[in-house]
Amino acid sequence: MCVTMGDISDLDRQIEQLRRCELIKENEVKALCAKAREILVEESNVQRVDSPVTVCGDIHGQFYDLKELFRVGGDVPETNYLFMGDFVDRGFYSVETFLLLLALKVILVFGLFFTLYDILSSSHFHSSFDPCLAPQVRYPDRITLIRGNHESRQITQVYGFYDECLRKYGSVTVWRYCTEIFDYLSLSAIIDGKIFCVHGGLSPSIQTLDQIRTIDRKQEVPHDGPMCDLLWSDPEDTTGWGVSPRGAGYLFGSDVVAQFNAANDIHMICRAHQLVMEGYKWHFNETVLTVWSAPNYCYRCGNVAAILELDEHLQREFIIFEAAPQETRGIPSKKPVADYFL
Amino acid sequence: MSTACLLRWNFVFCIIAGLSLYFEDGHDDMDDFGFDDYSSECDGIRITAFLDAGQDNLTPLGRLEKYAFSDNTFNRQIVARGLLDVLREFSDNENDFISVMETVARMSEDADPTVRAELMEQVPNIAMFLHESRPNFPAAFSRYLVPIVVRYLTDPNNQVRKTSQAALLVLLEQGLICKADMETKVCPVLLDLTEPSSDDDYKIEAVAILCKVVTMLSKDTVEHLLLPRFCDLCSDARLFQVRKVCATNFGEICSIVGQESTEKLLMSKFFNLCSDSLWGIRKACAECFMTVSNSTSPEVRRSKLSPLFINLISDQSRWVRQAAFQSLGRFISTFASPSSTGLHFREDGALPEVPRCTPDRQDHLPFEKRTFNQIDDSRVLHFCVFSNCPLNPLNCSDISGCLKDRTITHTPPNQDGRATPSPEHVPSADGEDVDSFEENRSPVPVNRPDGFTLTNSSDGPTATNNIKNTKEHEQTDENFNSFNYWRPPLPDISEELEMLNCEKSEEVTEKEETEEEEHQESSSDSKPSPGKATSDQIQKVLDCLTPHIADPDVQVQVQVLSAALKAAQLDSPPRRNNGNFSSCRNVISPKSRSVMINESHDHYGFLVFNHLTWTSCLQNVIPQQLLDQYLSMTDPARAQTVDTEIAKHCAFSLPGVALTLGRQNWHCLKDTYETLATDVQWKVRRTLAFSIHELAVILGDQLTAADLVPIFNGFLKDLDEVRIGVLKHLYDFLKLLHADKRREYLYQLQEFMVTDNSRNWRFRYELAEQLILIIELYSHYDVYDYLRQIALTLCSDKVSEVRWISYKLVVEILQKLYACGADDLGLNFINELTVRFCHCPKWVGRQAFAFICQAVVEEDCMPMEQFSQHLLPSLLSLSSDPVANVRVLVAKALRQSVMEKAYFKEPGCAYSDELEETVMTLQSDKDRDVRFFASLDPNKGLMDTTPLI
Repeated sequence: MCVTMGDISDLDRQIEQLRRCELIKENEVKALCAKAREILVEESNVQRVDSPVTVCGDIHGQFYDLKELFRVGGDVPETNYLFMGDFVDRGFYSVETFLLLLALKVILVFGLFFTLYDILSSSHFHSSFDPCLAPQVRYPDRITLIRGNHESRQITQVYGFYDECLRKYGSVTVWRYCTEIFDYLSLSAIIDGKIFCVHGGLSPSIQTLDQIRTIDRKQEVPHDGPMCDLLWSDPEDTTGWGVSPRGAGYLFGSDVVAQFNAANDIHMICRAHQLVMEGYKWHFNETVLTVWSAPNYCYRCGNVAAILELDEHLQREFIIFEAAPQETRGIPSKKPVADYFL
Repeated sequence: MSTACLLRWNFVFCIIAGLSLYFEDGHDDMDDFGFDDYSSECDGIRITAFLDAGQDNLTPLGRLEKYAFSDNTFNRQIVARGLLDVLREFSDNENDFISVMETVARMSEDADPTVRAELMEQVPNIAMFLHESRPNFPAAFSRYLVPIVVRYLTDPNNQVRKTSQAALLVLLEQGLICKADMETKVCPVLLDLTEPSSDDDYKIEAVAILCKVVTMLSKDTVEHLLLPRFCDLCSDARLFQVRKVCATNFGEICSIVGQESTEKLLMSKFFNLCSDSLWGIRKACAECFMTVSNSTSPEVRRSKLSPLFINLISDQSRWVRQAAFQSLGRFISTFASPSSTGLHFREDGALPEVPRCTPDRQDHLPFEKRTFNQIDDSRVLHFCVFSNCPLNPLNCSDISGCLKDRTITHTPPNQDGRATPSPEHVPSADGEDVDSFEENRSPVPVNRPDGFTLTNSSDGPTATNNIKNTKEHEQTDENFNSFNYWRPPLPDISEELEMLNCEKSEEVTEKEETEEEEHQESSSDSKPSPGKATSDQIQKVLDCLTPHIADPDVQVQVQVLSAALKAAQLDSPPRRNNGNFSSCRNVISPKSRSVMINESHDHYGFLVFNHLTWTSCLQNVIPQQLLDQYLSMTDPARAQTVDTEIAKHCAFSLPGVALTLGRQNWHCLKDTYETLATDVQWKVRRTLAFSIHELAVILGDQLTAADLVPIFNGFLKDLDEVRIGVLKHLYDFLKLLHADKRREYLYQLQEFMVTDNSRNWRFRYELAEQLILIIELYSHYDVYDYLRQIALTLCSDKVSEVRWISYKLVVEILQKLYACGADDLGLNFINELTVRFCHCPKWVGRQAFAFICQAVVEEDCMPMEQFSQHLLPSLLSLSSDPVANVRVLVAKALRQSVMEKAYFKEPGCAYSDELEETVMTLQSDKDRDVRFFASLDPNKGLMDTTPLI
């Protein structure tokens, strides 16, 4: 991919805008998605990720809570992140949320290493950038995005992302760009070869990671089959497989997990997909973990959110966080409420 | 379960509704990532689809024409809705653009109101698009679009009118309508619509628009074009809605047209509205009282608005009373005299800045002169305390009987020079010995000739007086000593006539060493009741004031004194006598005899007056009734009859009221403040906690120590919701305390790390931010002993933001230690940091170490030699850290900061080889980010500063 100066400054400004929860232009979305596609197409269905990394669950368009997540967990790129899907739908800012994550992934390294504050305060810095460095500095590895069941054309038409795009851009073009990218998102990730991360869970048609690697993922999420199951299944306190009340995917029991983990030499499965009020929840003797990162889900569930910090020895630490306080959520009133009158 | 139980339904839905967009989508060809072909697929959605070539042979413009004037209403609506897209498509070509605009103009005549409303809804978007994309925007906009907006304001269809009103406001807010269009096109229509003969509905709407438009126009335009009409509308007898809108916007109008027009034209209207028969209108008046008051002269405010306000506050309607009480504090604040406080109100009535105490103010003075206002060991300070007799100075034969002369010497700095115990109160070293003062027990009233005015609270005059005094007394600079030299200037309140109540004075007395000079304890037997104040005596004061009657402040005094005179003649005790009369004292500073003799006469009345007011909890800054009402807000009965939140409103505006009254009238508010501070509702306490630092500035150090510190201490132990208020301004408050008092809080700082809800990380973040400031308030020993540990704990916080701000705190502490020459402590700390962070088993700690090293270099926290000895080796060792995120920060620190230091660039530098080598290694790191930062040339301006905050 050829990277020019124009790309750099554009991307940089786009990130700046997106971090302020401002929309970027339609043609910028198009360019961003084109770049993202180039990166994502190279990724494996089981994307390899190194520790240390912070693992996050569903975001669901809760943009300001995503920003809170970064405050609590560390800014990109000081911290590495793995997001396990469901970036869009439900919340009010699916477009901004997904595009910010995408931009953070795509951004070139010198932009990457500028935090929000730098980006906001320095408009001068890339003017004198040495272009000879540019071609090799694209570096998306600090943030990994895998696909959730909401990263789908069908689901987003029902749960808000489609309408949001239509409302915010006056057309569905942006929705189309984004859903196109959904098809390129990786299906799962494996951290240091030991922790398998997937949005939903296991599939009866999959016993090994290599089987996942053979899936042709570049398509809409099917109604059934292994790809669908990975994004839709849930763990259940039984053994064997069960019918999912969701209408897609399966329920999988503890023995299924034990078998899968043993077969693939992994310690644990990390997944999202289900709201848990405490932010995270263990299943099956700490072999499956649910992480949920949308605090006060749908702005009314009252749950806390969690992220899982894995250090370089895969030591776990959970960070629990609450919804971002009102004053950090856009649309600041023209006159903020004073604490006192003087 | 999270989301998608509806999946099955969704599938069905998609199929039924024929919305199965993706099933047919032809994007299987993944290599062709062109998005352009989308447009052909979403005709049902893309609004401008009608422009696409299709069944007919028309040009796009022709098709626009065809659909814009089609017989089918739906087609016309679609065109109207899609106008922005149409313009986008045609705006490249000037001719096409003009044709489209012409089409728009003709479309605006559409007979169907739904089409007109659709069109009008697009107008703001179109205007903004044109504004951004077309150089000749104003002409086209003014020519084509403004007329439509204006015309639609009188459209018979309700929906169309409403849309045009909304559009007009948006356009005004965006500043898209030029002044000429406003005056020649918009205003005339609004004036027409608000004619007495105009239709009621139109009129009510137009008034609302008119009032909003007014706020976006210049003063001249408003005055000439709209003000007379507004006045008429205020007294529209028929339509209460019109009067309501007027009342709601009254304040804004006043602030736009200014004092002259407000008083000349608007005041009588306001009076009428305030006594309107409808409570909603009276309530609206109460709500805008402050803004109205800000647009009037002090005389009008006092003589007219104040009684008017009292009417509202005792209105028969609870809603009106409620609104009035909510406005009361704000209204009171408008009595603050800019001449005495040096402050001016902003438009919204908020003070732009609280008066800061003299240290800031004195910064511009030469340092040796600054010290002048501090006392020194050799000097004995005198507080002359007049007790009991408000009219004493008028009848000074018994002055010795009621003169209490307290002396304070300040304690010398203690051995190690750490803490700085300071006197509770440092009056101006006016250079008068007590001897000379006592010799001066002539029937001359002791007074301060300098700048004691009725409404002073601290600033302007005081500051100038400080300078003046400094000049007058330069010779006293010989009293310079080391204590004064290094000590930060104290908040100076000495230029004020301080009043303390008896108890506090006693406390102060007990605390301080009284070494010399006799005490003349006031005898409580000389206790003339105010009622016995003879009319003669007051008359004398009045006579003294007469030559200065031009001064509004003096006028006020004369008014009040006249009232007092009347009261004295009637021999009735002043109201609200607090019973503490006998124990009250007035503290003033002595002044040189000559000055006193020269000037005392002029200020005769002020002093007397203060005695009067103080003893009776009266004051002269604001009409007494307003204060009485304000003080009643903590009365439980008020909560029942007015508003359960009334105590919160009282607390909310307390700083504003305190500032207005000035510290000399604090006694009026003190009890109320204490009541509020113990209110059962935490919101009330929280409100006070947020403002206590401001109040401390207003009151000065002595009153702060006596009256605020105990309350502050209570807040520290309160709920998190209350504590956060204190914490947010912890530095501001501690700064105002004397060093010894301040030291007591060292032990308490760590308590802020514990919160009721541990997820409340912003609390700890705030603590770290405050500690960064607070470092300067304590000696390096204290910083090392107390703050260091807190900082280290915060650096290991679970929350990233707390950690990163705490790294900064650590760096600041290091800087402090080295700046104070405590290299040994600095080294200890470095060793601790190295163990804790550089050798941390977790990457986060090691990353922090690299960041801290970089910040140390960036901020020159220590001599580079020390850095290279004690920190650099550890930093270099991290260059082979297994975690890339750590090495990235090492690369950044070395390349951007360390290697840029002149010290390391010098040819003989012992470390340059090692540095070069390390950076070379990093340049070929396996991680691309590390390579990048190791290779980046900082001189190219790419890499700015530190990465965080």
